[in-house]
Amino acid sequence: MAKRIFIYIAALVVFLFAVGPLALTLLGSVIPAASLLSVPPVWFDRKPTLAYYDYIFTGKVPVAYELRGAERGMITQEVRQVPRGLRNSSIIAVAVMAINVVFGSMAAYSFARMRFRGKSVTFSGIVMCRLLPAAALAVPFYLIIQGLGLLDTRLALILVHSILTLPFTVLILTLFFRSIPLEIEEAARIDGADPWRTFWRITLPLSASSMVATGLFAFMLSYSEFLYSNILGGGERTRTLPVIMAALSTNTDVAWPMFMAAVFITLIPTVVLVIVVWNFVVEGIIFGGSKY
Amino acid sequence: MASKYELVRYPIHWLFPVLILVIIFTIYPFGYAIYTSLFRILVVLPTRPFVGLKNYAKVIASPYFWEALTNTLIFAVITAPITVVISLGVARLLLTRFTGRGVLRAVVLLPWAIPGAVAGVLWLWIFHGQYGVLNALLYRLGIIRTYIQFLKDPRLAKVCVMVAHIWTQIPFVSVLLMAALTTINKELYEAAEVDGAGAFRRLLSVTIPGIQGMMIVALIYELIIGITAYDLVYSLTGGGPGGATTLLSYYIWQESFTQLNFGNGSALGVLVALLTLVLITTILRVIPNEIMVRD
Repeated sequence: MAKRIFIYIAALVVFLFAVGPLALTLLGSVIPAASLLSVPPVWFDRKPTLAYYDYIFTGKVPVAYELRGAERGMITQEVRQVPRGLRNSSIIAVAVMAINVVFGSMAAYSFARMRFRGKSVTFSGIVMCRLLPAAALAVPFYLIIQGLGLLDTRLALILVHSILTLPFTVLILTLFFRSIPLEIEEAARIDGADPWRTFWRITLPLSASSMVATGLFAFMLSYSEFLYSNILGGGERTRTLPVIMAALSTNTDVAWPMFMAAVFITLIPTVVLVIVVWNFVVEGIIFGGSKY
Repeated sequence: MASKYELVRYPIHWLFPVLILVIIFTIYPFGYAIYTSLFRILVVLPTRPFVGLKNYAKVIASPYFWEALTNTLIFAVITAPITVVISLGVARLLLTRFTGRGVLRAVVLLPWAIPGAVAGVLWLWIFHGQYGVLNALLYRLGIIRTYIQFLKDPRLAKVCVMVAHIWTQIPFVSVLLMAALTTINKELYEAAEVDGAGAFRRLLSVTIPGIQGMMIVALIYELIIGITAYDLVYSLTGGGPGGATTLLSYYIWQESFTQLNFGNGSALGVLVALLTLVLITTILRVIPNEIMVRD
């Protein structure tokens, strides 16, 4: 019995630790600024409001800000970049995901199913690349992208994010392809299919779930990437959400609930991905679908 | 084992896209970083004279570099083991049967999926000195009379950054350790129980030996993540107060893109790469057996 209680207490602590900061963000985004900033803290004296979300998407200034001078909160145009940032981030992350799934799986297949000279060098070369600290390459990346005339374009970020994610994709998919029984492919070969056809018609469909997993992983890494997005895509047109968030965190003109609303909008795709999709995939990978 | 595959020519058409990206954007840039680190490149100046190793000398002589280096090493050495230990507990918990486990499993990955720059903001609200949640809570509970400036005090700010960083890291390490824990033979636990081993004894004699390989991998992985941490610091403290939470990656960015000294930035980058190289060689010794085991 004591053990049961301990388990539930531990579970509660882990739950609060994982969800708490997010729940607070959601809470913070609907409490009017005047209540949030009160000292001593009285958060619940005014009615919660969706006005901040409204402003971010439509530009409609919250009523409280127009009424009384004394309670006029701070407001900034910068949060109006959020919808565009959402679009930028999504376009980039989806493109990165596609590149990873297509090119990553091709490379992984050759590592898993072929024998050739220089294989282990190539493989560890690709995987090791990711171990170079990102910041160490900041200056050369900037100069190279500048040289290519791609500064402040989404294409630059798609390229760079692909480099950052491909090593993981190749590693995971190689391990996965190896776990597919060779006999299935041999049967296809005997029926006269060449390696390319075997790959497309047999191996790919069999590994759909792990492709989805690595694809989503690449999406998440790209959606979260900040360092290069900040350096290479400084302009308003290509700013991704993490860059906007970091800029807002140092912007003293932004009303706090407004900022929290922006943060929560940023988090929606990751929350959906994690809870709805990713968990099934992770469980599938770790436990191989077996119950224990 | 490899003999069941036929030996083929280098499959360049399978590897081309990945190789070209990796070469253009990792190997070439790293060479380029070494090259630029030998020149004095200030964006504001038109000339780029060759200065040899002077950038390195300047960087190493700078007290800010040593502060960032010390901060980074302390940060990595403290956060990595704490993350692994807490994650072991979380992993163990998630493998225990209890009502609501499904919900917990669904949400426990959340902190990992959140962009680091955004995680910094979430914790900024908790630790904020004027309207932070923690201050409000402590005040309401009557523990404090005036708000604590968590992020303005060098020591507290360091702790805050570590807490936030560990928060983002626990989910992934927990998943790794969960995978390792499921491979331990259940009969070992039963045998230990029959022999009268208590929970703590079982942890030391069965659990930890069973997953030590993965624990070491996780530890090294976390050390590297700690050494290269950047985005969280950027949005939580901006490296401050003073340079109290400036980590190496943040320092490189500052030197390169706010001081616009590309020569120094490159030299710093090369130094950090060398630092992680030491860790990477260690990793290489550990990882291959792990992958074999999983195969």
